[in-house]
Amino acid sequence: MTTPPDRSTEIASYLAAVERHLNDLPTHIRQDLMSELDAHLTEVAADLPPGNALRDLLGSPEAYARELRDTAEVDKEPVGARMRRRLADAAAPALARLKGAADRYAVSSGFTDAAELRDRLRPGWWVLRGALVAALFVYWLSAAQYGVTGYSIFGSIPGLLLIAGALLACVWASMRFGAKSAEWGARRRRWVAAGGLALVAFTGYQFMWLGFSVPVEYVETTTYYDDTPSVQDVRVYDEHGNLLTDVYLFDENGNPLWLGDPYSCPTAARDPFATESPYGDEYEEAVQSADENLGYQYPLCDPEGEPTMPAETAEADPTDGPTATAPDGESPTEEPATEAAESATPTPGESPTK
Amino acid sequence: MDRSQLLKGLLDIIVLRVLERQDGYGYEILNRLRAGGFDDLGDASVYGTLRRLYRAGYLSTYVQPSESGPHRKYYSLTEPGRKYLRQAREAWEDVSDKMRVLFDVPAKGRP
Repeated sequence: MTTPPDRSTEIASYLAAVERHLNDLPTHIRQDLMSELDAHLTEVAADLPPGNALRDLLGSPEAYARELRDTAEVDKEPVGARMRRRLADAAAPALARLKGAADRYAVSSGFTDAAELRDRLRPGWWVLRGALVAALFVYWLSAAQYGVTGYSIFGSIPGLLLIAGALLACVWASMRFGAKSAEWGARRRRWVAAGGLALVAFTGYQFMWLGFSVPVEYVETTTYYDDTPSVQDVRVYDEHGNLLTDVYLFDENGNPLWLGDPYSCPTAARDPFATESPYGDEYEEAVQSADENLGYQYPLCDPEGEPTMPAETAEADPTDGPTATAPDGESPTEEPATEAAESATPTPGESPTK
Repeated sequence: MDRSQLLKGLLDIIVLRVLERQDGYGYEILNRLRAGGFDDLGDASVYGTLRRLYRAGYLSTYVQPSESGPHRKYYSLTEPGRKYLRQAREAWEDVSDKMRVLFDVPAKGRP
């Protein structure tokens, strides 16, 4: 007789597969089945002729598990119960850690354990619970009667009496309720605890405005400060430092830029809508509307005697001079610009503007 | 017809009866049943039944070393097991008699 081949790996994998399919059985039944199945499969494998797999004799692990389940006479655990069990299993380590931490905390503060600390704190919680109920009661009552009578009970003698009375009554009732609940079963006490939590959450929600409301301040807004210096006039220079006159400014879309303030000029302002436009003097109405489309004509103010030109850009180049003209050739004074360019030392003041 | 469903309700009686005659271990019990004509029974059914009867206290176990291979776990009937088997056998024979009578009555219109 030959020594039977080593089938431990095959058995182990078969076992693991079967156990996977029995996962939903109650723990004690699954453990009982699995603990003996190991030995049983080893017996079966010992009788197995060489060359035959366990699977050939017993069928698939899934079918085997199903058959086991049928004969073990256990119904599948209901889904709800299984979820609860899994959840409890999963939460158990975290809960244990939490309990350990709570115990250490209680011990460090001089109590035997967390349970004792909780028992000591319980009457305090009852008082707090009563106070919360009283606060809600007074708050709602005062809000309701304020809506009707317009009389605020806060700060008045009757209001004070009402608050004190409600507080005493509710705290008394809460303590009484708490003492009574000590005799109740676990299920009913869980409901009481849940109710307490809900009360705390609801009270927090009701009085949230206390924490978030900011006292309204009315700020004087009659004086408005703008840090950016306002533009009063626009001066356009060519590359030789010659002031260009009778210039219109447009943005990239062809809309006029209404920069500056024609009424801010120290001396009498030039007419911002100079009528020397291509439309001519005889069409007064047309000119007004045309200027609406062109924008202001710059410079707005008479720049006479105002040294506004940066010196470094004033380079004399006679050949380039004549090209400097107002945009779109709309400047009616082409000649003065040329004249200015021809002088060796151009100064803004020399530019004819009128 | 799939007889395994039919046999499922009789597994207790079958396994207990086999073990009443002689103690046995898991796979050997199945072989005895197969030899007795119960070809439809699977290993898992027999094994599951053994474990269930053991949990119910109808069977006890003991381990015996074998000349070849691993130790074997033998099952034997306990006193409650014997009592249960007697009751089960009575129930089976009662049902069996009634079934026989039911089938012996000739169908209408037939000789």
